[in-house]
Amino acid sequence: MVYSLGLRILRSRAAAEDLTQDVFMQFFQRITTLDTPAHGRHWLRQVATHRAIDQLRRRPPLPTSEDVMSLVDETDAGDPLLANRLRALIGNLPPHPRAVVVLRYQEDMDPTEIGELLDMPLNTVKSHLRRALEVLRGHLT
Amino acid sequence: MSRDLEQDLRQALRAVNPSPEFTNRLLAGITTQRRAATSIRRLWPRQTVAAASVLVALGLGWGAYHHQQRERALQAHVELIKALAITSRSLDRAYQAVHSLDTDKVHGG
Repeated sequence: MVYSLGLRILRSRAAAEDLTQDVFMQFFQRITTLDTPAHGRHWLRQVATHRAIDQLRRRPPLPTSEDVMSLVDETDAGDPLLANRLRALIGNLPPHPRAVVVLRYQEDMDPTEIGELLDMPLNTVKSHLRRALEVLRGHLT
Repeated sequence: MSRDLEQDLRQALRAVNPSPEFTNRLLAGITTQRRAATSIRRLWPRQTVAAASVLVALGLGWGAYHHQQRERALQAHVELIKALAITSRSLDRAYQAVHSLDTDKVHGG
């Protein structure tokens, strides 16, 4: 979950690994304050997503050619070329819309949950989703 | 909104696991961190036990309360580990390692 969020938002394996390590180190320091599994999951998603967005805004990781090749998932069911194209297009979205799309379709969160996680109004989440889908659809046609 | 595009997005963004090498490094890092934290905390349970004994002797039942709180924290921790293992199976070993350390801590004092 944490690594995958980092990978999809940052588009760099090295950056996703750094993020995962930082988040889990902090998680295990705070674990006794996280009462329930749901609380723990929420905390992990929230911290991972905020950190990934912060990193993107501060200093976006530059994917190496190795990253680009390794991000091609050979186990993709369906159309692997389409899946890879979609991931590349998502990687070109600004940080917040990118995070919203990843939370919606990777984590299967509904817009209300995404709004709470990102501290973002529901209408803004819906707007990011709608625009992102329009952009993706526009590039695919 | 195209249902096909949404389906394609779910397929493209399905969760991926980190490499086993990274998982092992993470596990080692967490284990080291937890051991260091545990060894520091081992210094004060004796003081806690002594204080609890005095308080129990005074009829406050503080020792029992402290034990119950620790048990509850451990149980919450175990449930958390189980739940998270389902969503991130490759990190399951890391959670198990942390769990076993905490169990040792509770049983070993």
